[in-house]
Amino acid sequence: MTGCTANQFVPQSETALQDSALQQALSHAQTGFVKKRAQAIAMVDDFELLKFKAQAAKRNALSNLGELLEQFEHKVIESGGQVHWAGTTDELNACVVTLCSEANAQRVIKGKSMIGEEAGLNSAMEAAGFELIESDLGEYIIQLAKEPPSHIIAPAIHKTRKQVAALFKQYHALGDRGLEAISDLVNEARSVLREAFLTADVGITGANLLVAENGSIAIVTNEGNGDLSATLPRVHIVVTSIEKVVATMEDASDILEVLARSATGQHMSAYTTFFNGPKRERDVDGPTEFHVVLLDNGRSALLDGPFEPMLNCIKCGACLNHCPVYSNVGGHAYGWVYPGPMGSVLTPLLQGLDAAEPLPNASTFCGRCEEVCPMGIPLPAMLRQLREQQHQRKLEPFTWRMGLSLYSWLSTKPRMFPYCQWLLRVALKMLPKRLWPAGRKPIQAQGNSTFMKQWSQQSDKRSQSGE
Amino acid sequence: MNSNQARSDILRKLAGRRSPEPTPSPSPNEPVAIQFSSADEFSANIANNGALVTFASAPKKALQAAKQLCMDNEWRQPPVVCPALQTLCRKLRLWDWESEREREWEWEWESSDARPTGTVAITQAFCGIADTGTVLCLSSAGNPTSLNFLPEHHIVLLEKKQIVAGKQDAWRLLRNAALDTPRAINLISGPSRTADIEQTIQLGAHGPRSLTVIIVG
Repeated sequence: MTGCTANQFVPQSETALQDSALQQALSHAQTGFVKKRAQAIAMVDDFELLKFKAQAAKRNALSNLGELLEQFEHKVIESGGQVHWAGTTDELNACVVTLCSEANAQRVIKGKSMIGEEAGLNSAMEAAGFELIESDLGEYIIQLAKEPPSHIIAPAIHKTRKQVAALFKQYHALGDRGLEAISDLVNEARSVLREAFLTADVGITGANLLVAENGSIAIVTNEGNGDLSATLPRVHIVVTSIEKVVATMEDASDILEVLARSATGQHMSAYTTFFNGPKRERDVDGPTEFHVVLLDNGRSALLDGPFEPMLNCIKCGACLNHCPVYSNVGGHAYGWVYPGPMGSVLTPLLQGLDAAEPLPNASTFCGRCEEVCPMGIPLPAMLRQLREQQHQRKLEPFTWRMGLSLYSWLSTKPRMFPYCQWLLRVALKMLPKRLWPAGRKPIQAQGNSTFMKQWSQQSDKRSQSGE
Repeated sequence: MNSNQARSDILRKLAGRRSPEPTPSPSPNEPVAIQFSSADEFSANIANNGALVTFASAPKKALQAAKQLCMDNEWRQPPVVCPALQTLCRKLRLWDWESEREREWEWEWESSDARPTGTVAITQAFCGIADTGTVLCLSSAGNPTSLNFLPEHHIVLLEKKQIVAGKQDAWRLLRNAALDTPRAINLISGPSRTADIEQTIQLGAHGPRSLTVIIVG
């Protein structure tokens, strides 16, 4: 990934709030995802039971992670594939570049992979001289736009159809053809990318799950691009991370039951495929080489600690779609590959808390993320813990610390506290609105008096009702 | 390449963990017998996913139905039939391959229509999963995976007695069949789609624009 600019969250958010095209694109997205998920879940008898099973499968996997990875490796080798291990993203990139060089590859087709994004694999591949083409439509669009993804399952969610049409006009030989309708745009990408699928030497994909019992890797897509990337080129390289392994096909399907419903509101995505090793002796298609690259990049250090539940994440994106902060600022404001609530936890854990200081604070603690998370990740509690760590390590801005100290001092002064509350109320009412920064809604004093005043006024009522 | 070094580092970190919780044995309440399901539930759910469903009493009738479908939709090229169904297909003489294709009909990857421009592919499913409306296809020499993804239109034959209730039943069915793990297990729940532009669903992103399931039996 290109550098992490999470520390610029506040100015990046200001820019996002004033970007009218972005705001228009975000408005399509939120309603769509949220409504579809709710409909899909309403159609299931007992979604809580499905969540329980999925979480049990994951818990079982995480408590046996080492053994399962070894079993997975053994089974991949048995089926004719190879497993490579990478402690860091640099090691992953170097490994993939070496594999492509050894395969004498020129053209590489890639399915969507968040691990690839995390590692900055595309730039590493381009620097090594390979022609790399993203095949997921959203990823392809942002590759043309030279932008990072802004959503973990809909990378180009921030683009309007007009912007996509302009990109295709710039990069494709369209002649006089106009691309007005969305169907025109999809067909245009289909025909350009079909050619790429058929001529690529190597296909790189991510994996949604790894199955230890038989060494399969699962890829879930709606477009079918993952399957074409995995089937047509002569080499298939899977880039994935260690926490994706589960014990059995049964456990994998327990997780699949909640994945698509939470992500896109489908009972199943159009295509879920379990790939197992290279082409068999009598097969007429399939790659002749099958490689899996397993990335750690700080994940093993999270085990047994307060942030272990973050490894439950199946990257469905439900927490992004339901987040009031993400809905307003979009993904780029977060400054790294993982946005929204899961990103606000994961980015500080993987990039360091000092590289992502504002993110744990980019939350209203409304709790919707935890409510919709199919894997039961306590995101608000983790954000709170990160805030505590920040405070202990004195990472917040000076003004913030001053404000907090002032508040904690004031809250121990029972007489002065109500007085200051009153003062703040008056100030909010009196101060001219133009003092607020552009793009910010002025906060208005609510109610007729301060909370403390109302509280004491009602003390009689409380004592009467015996509270 | 220091993959070995990374391997031992990672596994060492994972080995120094708390004693893992015992793996829970499968819950005794869970039925071990395979639960089969009705074709009605299956077809309602896969139709919801955007697939077409028709019925045929025998494989022969199914292939005839497939031909009718091609004619009705004016898919003019002869379809690419998976090798497993080719003998039957040739016996029925549904398509006039004599002139153009008979000699190259033995599956040849490079000359296959499916590769760059083929319009229709006809393949076989291993089983159907009713609760999500999914067909499960196994890759083999007789059923190459690429036929599920390359054509414009995909027609898949599914035996009625192979429709199970859920995914777990499908795995049991697969274990009972005692096959080696196939190179690819495709769970297909409708035609290829994308909503990457303005959240508007568009069929035929990279894979087939339509999926037709012919339930046989």
